[in-house]
Amino acid sequence: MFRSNQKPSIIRISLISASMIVLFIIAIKLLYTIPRQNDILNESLTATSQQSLQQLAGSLRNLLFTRDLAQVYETVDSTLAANTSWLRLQILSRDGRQIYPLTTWQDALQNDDILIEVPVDPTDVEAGLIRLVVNFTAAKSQFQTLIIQQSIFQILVIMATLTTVIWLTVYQISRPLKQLTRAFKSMSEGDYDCALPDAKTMEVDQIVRDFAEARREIQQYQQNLVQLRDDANRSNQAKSNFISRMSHELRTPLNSILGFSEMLGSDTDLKPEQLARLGVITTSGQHLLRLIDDLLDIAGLQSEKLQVTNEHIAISALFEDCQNLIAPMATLHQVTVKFADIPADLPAISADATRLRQVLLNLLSNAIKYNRKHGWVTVTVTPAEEMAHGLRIEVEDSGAGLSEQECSRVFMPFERLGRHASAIDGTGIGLSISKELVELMHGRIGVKSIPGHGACFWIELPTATPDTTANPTRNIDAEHIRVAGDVDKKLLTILVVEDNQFNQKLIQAQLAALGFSCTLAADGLEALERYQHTEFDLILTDIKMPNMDGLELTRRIRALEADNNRHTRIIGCSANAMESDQLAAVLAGTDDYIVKPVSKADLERAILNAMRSHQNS
Amino acid sequence: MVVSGTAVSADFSVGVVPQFEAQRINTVWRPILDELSTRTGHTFHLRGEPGIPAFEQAIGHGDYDFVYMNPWHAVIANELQGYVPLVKDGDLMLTGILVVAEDSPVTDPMALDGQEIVFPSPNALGASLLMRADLQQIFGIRFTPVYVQTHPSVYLNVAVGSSVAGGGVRSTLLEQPPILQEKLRIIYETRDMFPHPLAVHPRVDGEAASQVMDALLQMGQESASAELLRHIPMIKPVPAHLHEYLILKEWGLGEFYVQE
Repeated sequence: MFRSNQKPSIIRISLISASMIVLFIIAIKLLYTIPRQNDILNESLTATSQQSLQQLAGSLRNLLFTRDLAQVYETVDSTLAANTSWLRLQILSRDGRQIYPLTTWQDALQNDDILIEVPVDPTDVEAGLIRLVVNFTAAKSQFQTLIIQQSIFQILVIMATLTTVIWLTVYQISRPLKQLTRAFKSMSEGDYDCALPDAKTMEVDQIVRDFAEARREIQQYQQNLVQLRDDANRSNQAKSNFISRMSHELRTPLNSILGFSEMLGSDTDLKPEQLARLGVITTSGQHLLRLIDDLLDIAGLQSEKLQVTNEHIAISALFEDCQNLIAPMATLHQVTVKFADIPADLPAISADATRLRQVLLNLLSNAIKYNRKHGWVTVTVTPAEEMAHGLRIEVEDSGAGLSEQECSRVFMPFERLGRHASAIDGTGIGLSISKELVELMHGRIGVKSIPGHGACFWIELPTATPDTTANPTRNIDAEHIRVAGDVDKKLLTILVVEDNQFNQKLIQAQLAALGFSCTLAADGLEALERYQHTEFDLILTDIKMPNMDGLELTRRIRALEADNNRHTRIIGCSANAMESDQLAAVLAGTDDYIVKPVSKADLERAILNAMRSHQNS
Repeated sequence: MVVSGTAVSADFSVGVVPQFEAQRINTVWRPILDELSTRTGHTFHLRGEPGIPAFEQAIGHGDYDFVYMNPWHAVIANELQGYVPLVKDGDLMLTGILVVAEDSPVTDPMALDGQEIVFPSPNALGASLLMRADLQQIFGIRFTPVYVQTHPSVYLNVAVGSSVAGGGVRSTLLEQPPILQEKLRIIYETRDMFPHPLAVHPRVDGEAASQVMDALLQMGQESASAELLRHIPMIKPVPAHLHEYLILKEWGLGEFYVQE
C-alpha cells in the first residue's frame, strides 16, 4: 500500500537538484564566464591603452614639433609611472631615430606582452611613431582574483539559499508528510488516534486538516459498518438457529411418518391401491426431508458452520455410489444415465466424500428432472481445463437447456429455471449449495448450454496430493452384507432412550422388524438408572429430551465407565441435523450419530457398524 | 611700493625671471620672502609673469621693487630703469657650454659651420646669447639656431641626435641625469660671467635695500636659511656690483639680443 520507499523522497530530489544547480553554476563560471571575462578584460584593457596612447600622442605632438624634448620626457615618464601595465614606450622620429628613451630599446616581447603602435600625427603617419609595450598580467590577475572571490561569494549565497529551501522543504513539508504517512498506516491498521503533525505551512496544514476530517468520517463509517455487520450476524445467527430448531421440530414427526410408511410398505397384506397411496405419503415425506436438508445446508453455509474435510476420493467409487443411488429416480423418469469408463491410472481427487456425493447427486437429479422422456444423461471425467492439477466431471443432459441469462443466474439461491420448472419439484437452492460446497473444497463449478440442446454442468476439483487424508473406498452395501453375518442379532441387548411416544413405537417396531429386541427409557435420567442396573451392548439415545438430554447421559455413562473399564456402544439419534450437533455428540462420547428420520436400513447399518467395531476392539 | 619713512615697514614687489614654471618659482621664493619679511620687518609680494617677454616688459616699466634676473637682463634693467645689483651667488661663475653627442665626430666648433644648433631660448645668457656671440665672433661660423625652450631640451635633442650641437651652461648640465650626461661631450666653453643678481629699483629706500642685502647675506651664513637660498640657486650669497655685469655690453651681446 505504501510504495513511497521505491520513489525518491522530496529531500533527495531537493539535494540532487541543489547540487546540480551549484555544479551547473560552477561549470558555467569555470568554462564560460571566467575565460570570457578574461578575454573581455584583455580587449578592454588593450582598447583603453590604445586610447590613452592616442591621447598621449596628441599631447606629445606639439612638444615634438617644437622639439621640447624635456617636456616630452617628463610627460612620458609621468605617464609610464602612472600606468603600471605600461612596460616601456618608444618614440621614433620621422627618419626612424629613437627620440625616447635614452636607453637602448628592447624589441623582443615577453609572454603576454602586447605591442601597441600609434602614429604621432594621425594626419601624417610618417611624422613619427609611438610604440608601447603593455602587459596586463598583473591587472588581470587582480581582476581574476576579484572575479573568483565574487564567484565564490555568489555560489555561497546560492548554496545558502538552496540550503534554506531544502530546510524548509524537509521541516515544513517532508517531515509533516512522513508523520501523516504514519497516521495513514496506523489508520489502515485500525488505529484512528495516531498523532497528526503540527504543520507550519498553510498547504500542509490544509492536507493535515483534510486528512483529520476524512479520518473522522472513515472512523464513523467503520463504526457504522461494524454495527451493521454485528446486527446482520446476529440476525443471521437467529435465523440459522430458527431453521435449525424448525428442522428438529419437523424431523421428529417426519421420522414417524417415514418410518411407519416404510414399516407399512413391508406389510404384504396391502392392496395395490393402498400401496400406491403409501407411495405418495413416502415420496411426499422424502421431498419434505430433502427440503429440510437443503434449508439446513443453507443455514449452515450462511452461519459458516458448514465444514468440509478433504480426503483422497477415487472417481470410480464415487461414480459407483452415485449410480446405485440415482438408479431408482432414473427409472422413474425414464431417463438413461450413462457413466463413462474410468481409466485405471486416473488420479484420486481431493474433496469431502459426503459433500462431493451430495453435489454430484444434485447435478444428476437435476439432469434427470429437467430432462425429456426417454432422454439421456452422461457423466464423464477429463483433466481439468483451468486447473493445473485437477479433474473435471461433466454431467450432460438432453433436456431443454438454458439460455445465456439463465446460465448466469442458475447458481443463485432460490432460482428455479426452465420452462417446466413449476411442474418439477425442488427447492431451488440445490445448485446454490453445490456451488458453495465445491468452492469450500477449492474447486469450481459451472454450466454451458445451448437452449434446445441440453445443458452440461461441470465441476473441477484438484487432484489429491500426498497431504490429503486417504479415504478407504467404501461400498455401503458390501460392507453391510459382510458385517451382518458377524453379529447374532437376537443376543444383542439394546437400550432405546426416546421421549417422543410415536418415535418410541417406531423404533421398537423398526428394531423388531430388523430382528433386534430392546428396552425403552423415556429420558436420560431413566436410562442412567437402567444402565446402572443392567449391562447393555448398545444404547440408542435421542439427544433433545426433558430431565436429562442425550449428551449429558452419554457424558455420565462415559464417566462411570472410566471407573469400571467398560465401553458401551452409544449411538446418538436426533432430529438435530447440524454438523455442530453431530460434533457435540461425538465430543460427549457417542460412537456414532444418525439423523432422524431414520430408515430401517440406516438403523441396521449404524447398529452393525457399532457392534463390529466393538468386536474388533 | 608704500614709502612710509625710515624704520617703518613697507610693502615691496618682487619679480623673478620665469626660467622655470610659476609653481616652482613660487615654491622656491615664498619661504625666502617670508624669511626676509621676518628679518627686515617689510612685506614682500611675489609678482609672477607668464613668460620672458612679459617679464622683460615689466622690467622696462620698472614694475618690480626687487628683481632676480640673468646678468644680461641686469644690464638692460639698469639701462632702462636704473636697477642696481644687490646680491649674487659667489660660488659658481656662469659659463656657457657647447655640447655634441658623445659619439659625434665633431670636436671643434668650426665643424658646425652651416649646421643647425639648438639653444634654450634666444636670450638665455650663457647658453644662447654669449654662445651665439662667441660662435660668430670668435669662430666666425654661420649656423641655424633652433630654440627648444629649456636647457634639458637642448641636451636631449643633442643626445637623441635631433641636433648636431646645443648650447647650455655648466650648472644645468650637471643637474641632468648621469645617463644623459654620459651621452654628451663638451667641445667649447664661453668666458665666465657672474651669475644672476637680485637687483633693486632706485625708488626703493637705500636703508630698506641695505636691510634686504644684509638679510640675504646673513641668511647665507645660517644653514637653515642657506638651504632655502640654495634652491634659487644661490649657494653662497655675496654682494653684487653693477660693473661686474656692464662688461657684457662690451662683449657685444646687444646685437644677439632678441626683442620679443
